[in-house]
Amino acid sequence: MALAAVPATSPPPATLERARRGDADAFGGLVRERQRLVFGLALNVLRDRALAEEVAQEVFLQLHRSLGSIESEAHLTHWLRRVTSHRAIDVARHRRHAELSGLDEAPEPWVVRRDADPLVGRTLRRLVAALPPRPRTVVVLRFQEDLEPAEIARVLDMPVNTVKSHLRRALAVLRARAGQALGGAEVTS
Amino acid sequence: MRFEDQLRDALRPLDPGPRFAERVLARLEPTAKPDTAEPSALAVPVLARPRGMSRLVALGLAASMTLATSAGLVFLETQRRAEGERARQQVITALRLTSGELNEIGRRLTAAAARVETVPGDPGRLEERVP
Repeated sequence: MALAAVPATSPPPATLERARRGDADAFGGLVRERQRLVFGLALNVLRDRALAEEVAQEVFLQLHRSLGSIESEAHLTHWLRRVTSHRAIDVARHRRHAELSGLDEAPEPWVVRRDADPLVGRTLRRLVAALPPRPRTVVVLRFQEDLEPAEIARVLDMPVNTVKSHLRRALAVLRARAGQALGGAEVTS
Repeated sequence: MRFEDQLRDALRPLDPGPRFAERVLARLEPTAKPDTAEPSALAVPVLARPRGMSRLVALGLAASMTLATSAGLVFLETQRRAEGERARQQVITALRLTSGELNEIGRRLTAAAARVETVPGDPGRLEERVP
């Protein structure tokens, strides 16, 4: 299985092995190295810092219980993307009604971002959060994690053509809505 | 900036902040070990699923044990009722025997009374009737 490249900051292989043997410090190292990936993914899908923190913690607790099945660093990254995505989709589905009814009024979650253009960034995140959970996760995996459609398909257990279709339609919707929200000058096709 | 790059910039992953890993580690149970650790024989709970046994097999075993226990309880209850019924029949038989004996005694008393006559003129003296 072709997995995504291991991040440059990945811990040395010994860390995974030590964590598998019950070394809490080594497991803490694994968490620190991967927390941006997991928390970032959950936050971009859920757009709620508290929920994203809860999902991210649960994912790492599940990882601790599943360390015996993790075969490599690349497998670890794939496993984290996969479990985080599915958990975030489940949570998003449960709170979808609330999102749809109050999204436009929802404030930007308490996060410090350094966007190239804060208004564009905030608007795009709000529009992405308004997509249905699965297309939303496809978009997040594509643009946060830079995954190709085939990799997204493996993470989400979804046919590649479905991933491509979600991407195509989501981008069209996002472009149109961003154009309406920001005006043509800020959004470039 | 292209739209895709704007999206990429907007969706850059954020760090959860300091002490996230510590919060995760704090939620690990103090004695929790990853499932690769070799369990001590004494540490394995009696009802724990043995390593390598699938969840389906474990569920099947649990269902079989429940069925066997239920069948055993039903068998014991049936036996208890049968014993109760036997005891009841014994009591009824004993009562019938007692009743028969009492009837026999009553019959003999009646017969004996028939053989005795009151002596005329002396109500207090009885005279045995000559058959």
